[in-house]
Amino acid sequence: MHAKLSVAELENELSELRKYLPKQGSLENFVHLNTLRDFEDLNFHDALAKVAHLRQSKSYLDLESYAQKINEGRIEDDQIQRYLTPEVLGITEVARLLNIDDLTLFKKIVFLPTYQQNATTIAWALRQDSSLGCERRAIWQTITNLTAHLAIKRQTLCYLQLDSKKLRLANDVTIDFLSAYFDKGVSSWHLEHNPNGLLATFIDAYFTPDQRLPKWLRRFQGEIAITADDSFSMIQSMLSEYAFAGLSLREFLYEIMRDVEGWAGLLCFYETSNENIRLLDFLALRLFIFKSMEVDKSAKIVTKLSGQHLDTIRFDCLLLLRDLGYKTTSQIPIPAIMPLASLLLSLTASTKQRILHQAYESTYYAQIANSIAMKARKKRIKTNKKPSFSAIFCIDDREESFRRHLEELDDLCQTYGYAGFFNMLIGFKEHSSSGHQNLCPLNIEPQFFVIEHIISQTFFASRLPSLLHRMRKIVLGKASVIGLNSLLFLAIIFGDLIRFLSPNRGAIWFKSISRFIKKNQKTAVNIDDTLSFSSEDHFLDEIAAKIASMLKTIGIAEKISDLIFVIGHGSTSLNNPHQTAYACGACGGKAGGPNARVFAALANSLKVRQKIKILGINLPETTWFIGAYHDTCLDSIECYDTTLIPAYLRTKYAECAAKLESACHLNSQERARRFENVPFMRPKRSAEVLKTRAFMHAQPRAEIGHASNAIAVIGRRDLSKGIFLDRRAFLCSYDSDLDSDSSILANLLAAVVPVCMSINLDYYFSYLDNEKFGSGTKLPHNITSFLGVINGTSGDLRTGLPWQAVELHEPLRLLIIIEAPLTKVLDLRIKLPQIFSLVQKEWLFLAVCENGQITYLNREPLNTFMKPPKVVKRSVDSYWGKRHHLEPVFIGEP
Amino acid sequence: MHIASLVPLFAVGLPLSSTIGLALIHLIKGANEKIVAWFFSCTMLLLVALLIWNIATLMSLGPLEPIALTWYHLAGHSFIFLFANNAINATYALVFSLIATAVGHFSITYLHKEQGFFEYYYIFFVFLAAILLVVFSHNMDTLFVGWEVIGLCSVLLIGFYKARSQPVQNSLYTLICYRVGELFLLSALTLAHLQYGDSNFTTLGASQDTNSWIILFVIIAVYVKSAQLPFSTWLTRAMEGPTPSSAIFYGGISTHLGPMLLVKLYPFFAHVLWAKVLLVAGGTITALYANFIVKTRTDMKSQLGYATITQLAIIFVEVGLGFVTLAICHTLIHCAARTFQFLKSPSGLQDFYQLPIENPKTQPSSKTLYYLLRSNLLLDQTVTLATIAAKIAIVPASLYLVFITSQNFDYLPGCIFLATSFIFALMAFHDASFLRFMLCLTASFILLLCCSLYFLEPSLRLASGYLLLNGLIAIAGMAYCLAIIKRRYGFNHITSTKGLFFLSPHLAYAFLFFVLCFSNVPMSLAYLGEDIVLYELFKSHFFFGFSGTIIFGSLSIAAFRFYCLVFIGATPSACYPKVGLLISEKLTLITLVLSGLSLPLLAFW
Repeated sequence: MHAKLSVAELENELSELRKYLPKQGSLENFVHLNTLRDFEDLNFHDALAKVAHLRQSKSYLDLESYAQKINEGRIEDDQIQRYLTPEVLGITEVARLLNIDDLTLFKKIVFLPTYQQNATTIAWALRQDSSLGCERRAIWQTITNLTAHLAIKRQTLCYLQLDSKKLRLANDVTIDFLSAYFDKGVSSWHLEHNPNGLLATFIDAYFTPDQRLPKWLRRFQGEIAITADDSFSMIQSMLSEYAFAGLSLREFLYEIMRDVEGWAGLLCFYETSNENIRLLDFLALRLFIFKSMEVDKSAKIVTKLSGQHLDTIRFDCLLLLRDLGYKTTSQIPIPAIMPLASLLLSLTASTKQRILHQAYESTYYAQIANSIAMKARKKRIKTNKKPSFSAIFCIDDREESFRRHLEELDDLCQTYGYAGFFNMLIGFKEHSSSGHQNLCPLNIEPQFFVIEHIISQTFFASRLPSLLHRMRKIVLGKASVIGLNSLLFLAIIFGDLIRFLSPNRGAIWFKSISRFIKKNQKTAVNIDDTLSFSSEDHFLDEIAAKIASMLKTIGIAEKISDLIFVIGHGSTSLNNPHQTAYACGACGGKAGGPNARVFAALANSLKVRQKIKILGINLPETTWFIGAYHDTCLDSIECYDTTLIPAYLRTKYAECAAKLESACHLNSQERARRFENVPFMRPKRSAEVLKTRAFMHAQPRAEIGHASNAIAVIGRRDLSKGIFLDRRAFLCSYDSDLDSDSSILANLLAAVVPVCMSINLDYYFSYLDNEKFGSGTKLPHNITSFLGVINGTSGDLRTGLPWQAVELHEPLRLLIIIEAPLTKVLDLRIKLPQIFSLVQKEWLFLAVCENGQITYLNREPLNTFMKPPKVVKRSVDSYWGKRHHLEPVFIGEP
Repeated sequence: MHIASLVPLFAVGLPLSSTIGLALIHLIKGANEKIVAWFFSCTMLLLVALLIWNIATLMSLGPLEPIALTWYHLAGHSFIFLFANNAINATYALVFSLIATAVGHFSITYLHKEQGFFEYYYIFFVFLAAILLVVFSHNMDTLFVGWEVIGLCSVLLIGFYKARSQPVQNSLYTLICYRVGELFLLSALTLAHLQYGDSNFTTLGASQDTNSWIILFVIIAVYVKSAQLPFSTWLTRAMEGPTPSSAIFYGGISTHLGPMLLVKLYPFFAHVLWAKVLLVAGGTITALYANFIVKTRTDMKSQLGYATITQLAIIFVEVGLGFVTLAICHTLIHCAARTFQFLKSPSGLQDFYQLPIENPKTQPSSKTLYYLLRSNLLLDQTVTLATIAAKIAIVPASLYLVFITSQNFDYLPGCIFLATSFIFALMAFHDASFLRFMLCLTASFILLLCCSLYFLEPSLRLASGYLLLNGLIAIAGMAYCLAIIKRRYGFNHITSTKGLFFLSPHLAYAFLFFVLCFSNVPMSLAYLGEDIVLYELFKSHFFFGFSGTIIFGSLSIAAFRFYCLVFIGATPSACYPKVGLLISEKLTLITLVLSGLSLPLLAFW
């Protein structure tokens, strides 16, 4: 009983509890975040264990998948050995008694069937399963006798069990209320919000009207006097009535919220920005519903024994002995049995998984680090040739392949990576939409507004969008009554029928309409700088500083080419509630085209150029910036404001645009290898096939997104150029030669590391336990309140990424390789304590590459991989015909 | 006889034969998604071509004679499949097939790599065959076969995600609702046989003395299928499967079968005023109710579901007012439009970003009304109340039973059999122990048989014996599966869902097969005898017949519930070993399944 629960105690518990809830806001502003971000002060593995205890989630992959990876050669023996020896102390001794080495023994243990047996299944197996050998019962008897004194400690675990029917009703009411409370416009009737907060609103909308109804229609039968203003005392009085022996307060509170944790997480997310929303209120509300629906009366505490059963250990011994070739009683190595059993007892599943997981990560890191170090050791041949053109991309891992293909097409081009908002914090208004979109990183307010407007258009192009708009409104109208627009309705049905029967044809129509509109419409952008700047001069100063800082960071200093493309990115897909997860994270989950466009427009203006020159960057007057937009699903590059390009660059521009387009096709071909239902084809054909995916309602995997991301390289492109990184790397340009006081590096790390890590860990956890951390398969998803998805019509809010987005992922923590002098990076420890604390706690790995020498700042993965990677002529040779994850490969010359 | 009158047979046969073909390939070579897609395209291409040709032929020939196919003929009892090929049926068939083609084609991409891809398509083909069966049927017997199979397919697809508890609960809930509807349809059908000697729609339409019970029962059955007012709660609960399955079942074809049946039966009740008033009034109330509910729903699929109910209610009003042609057009257009709207429902968020909301939110006028609508008129509460009422109804029912017996002492043994059978059925529904569950099931089943045997004419005893054999095979199959589980996994009663499906799918499918055999699913083992038994029960007394259907219904629900409890639920892979079946076990199961399959076919002789 917690009768004397104090405010501080409850507040404390709540703040602990908040950490566990999946805090995700509306999908409109979806940004990747570390799922366990509130546990970043703990060591990675400890955090996993802690969360797993309360949420009953997985911490690692199943042993079966690790076993499979060992078979595939994805986990190296040396790496296992390295983690095995310090973690499992007694194994060498046992292995010696069994006449094998400890690694073999460990692998045999891993390959044992992973289920836990109980007495019945063991008895059944001993009786029936002839594959265990004919003397199985005799051996079993021997083992039982030998291990008779094995002491086994089993803890009792307590669970709260509630009556499922009543609980379901209580959940329905809670979810119904919350979805109405947060609704952004699905329902046309509005739930009136009480200014006193969540609980007061609930009482207003549910409890009070309910009490006016005749008794048989009442849901809240009780006459409980509830006051909305003091949630705390309400919780206190209610908690005092619950007896939860064996459960801690936190466990109990979590149990109350377990079935609605998605909604509770949403609540926590809005808690910081909206003072009307408090988790405390929600808890009181939930307890109130429990009480009045009498869920609590059925509450039972169930105790279970944790840990393995003694017979299970013995049975594992039996299986292991048979595996090692001891098939008869006489052969059994008697002295080894007891130590083996104790070893099996001490070697819990999570220990095995942890060892294997670390070995698995290290194997990949070693491959990558090895190839990058080899590249770095190679002497750079300095060419004095001016680059043919330059292109600045987002650091996104999806651009890695694009850049690689572009460089393969044109050896002289230069590519750079910078966060996709290109330092432009803008609010953008498209000509067809009515409101602004903030295209800046999360939690940063725009500095100025950009308004797109039409400068010229043909007659049809001006009429078509509004016509389409009107038609769509009719189709999307909620309870569209047939009769009024029946003819149009028939037309729509016919159109849909064609579209669903032949999605490709539908996609082509759809595309050609939008292309037609785009072709016949010319737009321009206007800048409205009145938001946060006093004068134009002030604005230009600020902009020039931003542009200069970006150019300096990426290292454009000498031999600047005439054409510099600035390429933002976004993604197109239909029927996809999680579309925002595919767009540019640096632009707040939206398409980053306008940022690139504005950047180019400003960087081309003479006034800004002059100011940049003052800041020490010598841009030649002939240099021209072109803003462009890369659609990662369509794989198309659209260049903005091409009419403004000076005449002397026109032909060059045409050449470059053609190269960009071929790179798009090659990129499509590489992407296509991951889609099982797309055959390997010529680049252009692949591009055509993949394009249709963007316009298909039936396509749950329009593109693969960030799946399989694993590393980040911060340094010159030379470090990673010519290595086939399989779209797994975030590439961020940085030149340490231009950064004497390492202030640029500090800024870069502070900005880039959290972003990459968040994407990485979001995918990591969503893949690891897709039911708990992710949102499960997206096929039954249903949009609720215009902010998220639920399963069916009354489920909990699903947070995280859907299975279709992560199914190609490999859960590896991020390895960041920085090309800079080691001492400089080490000096940053004082300046960036947060990032280095994350490194320390192993939420990510950090390595420094100096003069071809890789130094890890965490524990160093063993560098066994000294044989050089394979060399192929072009990227396509390395991926053609292969659908699985690929090792790094050198392209061109070794 | 023109060849076109055989079209219904081909139409139903095509998807069925593709199911069988697919199953054979699956068994022999193992299937992949491409083979399924190929099968699907071929089937649909042939089907649509056939139906288009059919319409063209019908235009020149006019309506054709119905074609009859006798399943069995036993001492005055016969089961005849009767198909009519006329313009209305042909149009329904074509539109439904086109919708199915679109949805099926959509699903090939949508369900790519999904666990249960093949299961989905098996169910899809069977569903399609059942739809065409219902569409072309010309007597209630044939219609009922398709009607039940559709319900079953829908229930299996609601429980498509077997690892979560919510879909399982909801599929059980829907099953119970469907069972209630089917119970009424079955009673109506048997009554029609009793009164008119036939359930042929032409005969019914031509009859002068209309049996009010039949009309009422049909209307109730149709209201359940189309989720009209007192039964509308299941519709939103049913949207647990993948989006296309929700689209075709709840937005599309399945819910639109209600109005279709009424249109078929329209001549039968055209001159019954109260029925038409009931339809108009019920429809109006439902339309208003659902329309208001739409305003308060906050998720896309519920909104679409209630919007569907609104339109269906309007169609019922049209039927009630006698605008049959309008109702048919409305059904077809709405069915297609709503299906596609469902398919596009995940686009809602993207549309929301692009299109600003046109209608600003309004405050509801009355808080109490808003509350009532939000909580769906507390209909879930009414369901609980209904179960309580049903429990209370046992008292007057048993009093009535005593009353009947006192009128006619010949009834006494029959009454006792019936009552005990009912009690055992209830016990089976609540039991958690394997052994007791099986005992209750068997006892209830045998007692029901004894009851019917008591009333049966001696010439029919043979048929009843046949039923006994059939039912017992199913029971033996279930018991054998449970015995394997007990031996293997060491538990013999269930408190929570066990999810053994993932450990032993073959066993799960075998168990499901026996459950279906037992639950008098048409064309299965028990159905054949059940038909006769119910007929005799109804003949002796209306009340007996009705109780008989209730017992059959609850037995099948009990069996299905047990299947859910044992095989569905989160995977406890950490707790139970994955062990294959032994060869002896496999052989026994296969023998049982084969005998289960062959017995109903034997009846063709």
